[in-house]
Amino acid sequence: MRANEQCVPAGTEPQRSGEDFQALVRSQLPRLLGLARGLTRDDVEDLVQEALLRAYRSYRTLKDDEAGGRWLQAILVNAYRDRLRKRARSVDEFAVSDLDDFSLFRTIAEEDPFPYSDTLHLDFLGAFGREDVYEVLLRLPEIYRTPLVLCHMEGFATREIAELCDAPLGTVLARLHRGRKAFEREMWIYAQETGLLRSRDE
Amino acid sequence: MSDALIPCQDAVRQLWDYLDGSIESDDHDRLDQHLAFCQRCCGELEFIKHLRKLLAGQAPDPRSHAMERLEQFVEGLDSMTQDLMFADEIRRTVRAAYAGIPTGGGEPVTRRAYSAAELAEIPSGAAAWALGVGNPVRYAELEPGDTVLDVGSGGGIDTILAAHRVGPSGQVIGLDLLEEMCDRGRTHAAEAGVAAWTEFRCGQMEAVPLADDTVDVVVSNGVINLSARKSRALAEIFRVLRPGGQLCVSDLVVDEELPPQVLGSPSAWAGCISGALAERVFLNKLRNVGFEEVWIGDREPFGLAEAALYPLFTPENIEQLRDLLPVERHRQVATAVLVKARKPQAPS
Repeated sequence: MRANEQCVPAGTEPQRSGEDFQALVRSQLPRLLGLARGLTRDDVEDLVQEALLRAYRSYRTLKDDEAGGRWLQAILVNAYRDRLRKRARSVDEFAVSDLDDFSLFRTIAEEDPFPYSDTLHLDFLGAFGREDVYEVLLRLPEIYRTPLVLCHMEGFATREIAELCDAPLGTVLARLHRGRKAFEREMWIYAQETGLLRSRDE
Repeated sequence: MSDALIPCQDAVRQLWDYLDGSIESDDHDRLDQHLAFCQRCCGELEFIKHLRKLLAGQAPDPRSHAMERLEQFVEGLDSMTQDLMFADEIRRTVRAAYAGIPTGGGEPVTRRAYSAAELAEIPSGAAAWALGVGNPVRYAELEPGDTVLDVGSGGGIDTILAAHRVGPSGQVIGLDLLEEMCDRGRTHAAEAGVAAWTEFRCGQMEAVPLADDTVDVVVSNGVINLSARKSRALAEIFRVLRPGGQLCVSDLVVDEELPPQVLGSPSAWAGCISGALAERVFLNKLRNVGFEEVWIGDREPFGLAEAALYPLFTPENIEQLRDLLPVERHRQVATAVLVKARKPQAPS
């Protein structure tokens, strides 16, 4: 151990300490875990761990302490995207036809799962617990899910999402647009498949 | 700006972006103009606000989550619209429209749907108040002794025809939203000599004032479409029908999207056009509430010439429809249909 310690000459030590890093991580961990859960179903902790490792290695490149949260989130998104690239999942299996004109609002009005409710649409949403919404998000293809999660859960601007995803702004906007429609449709399909609506009105 | 509003389909595609503020200012203006007319798209906009909150609520930090919820609660105090189907507003519109007309469609309307023999059974007052779009009693296969409910009985023309069919051993109940319509119905039933086995009740089709499993046949003529909650109205009809009982309804269906100015027009809603469902949706709703043997047929075009027969439309309304609808739709704004369905024998 002693031998290792002297590898870093005095004076060239990073200005930031391990303690600073730990404090940053401690304050951001709930958000990071949440973001990771929004992005992926399996190996959530593993993904966060990998992101933290990458962050630790490049901690000295962080210029602005205030931006620490966003910086960690960006690293997490990058780590996630690298994993995906290896797995090369595709959007093929996800039906995208007629997606643009799907309206959850109208589907609920037309199918009217709770005829005796005076707050039909809100009752539909109320049937979804947090875990159900997560399930719906996780059913979406990654190219739709990531912009959706970053925009609506994490509050990133579309320009920031374009940087994080290394994609042109127009592509991100298009994916966000479809992602929202895909989310609407998947909410309906999920409710049908899981019997979420039956349990209430009978 | 031009007077042509963007269609609902375009409006709906932009609602998320509109809430983001990431929409071009021209598009923003066009969407604003659309929303000023289109209650349904306003409902969808509110709904998407709730969807966004649902997503934001997935954010992990419990403290910020609680903060968000509190902030949203305070924001939400301004817009407490919980019913995005706007049932109360639509019911008020319909009530006002029907309370405001001095008489029904009279001879021009009855000539379309009723035979001379049928009209001979009807007092002139009931015929004068005819406002239906078909003749459901003719197809209802009524038997002497049947109990019949006429949903939206108005001046009583179909109630009285049904009363003649079921005879004194039967019973006919006319249900109408307006007390003054019920009074007219009672007067006309007395004139027709069927008052002893006919009664009129004031009430909503979404809350039928009858017990479960008590009616053999439900008829209705151009009324279901007036409800903002058609599924509930149909569920109520299903509830009061005895097992094996039948629904036999004349109504309008609209399969192509109407312009938002028409959708947003109170007279077009009261006139059975704006609230009309697509045929597919109507049938689906019947099945969803439990009906079987669902059948739809006898399709008749319902165009501007037909709409003009009804006092619910002023000449100005008709002119507006003429301007807004493409010429090829003037002859067929909607389609009058006859719908039949049966409540299953064994309770499901």
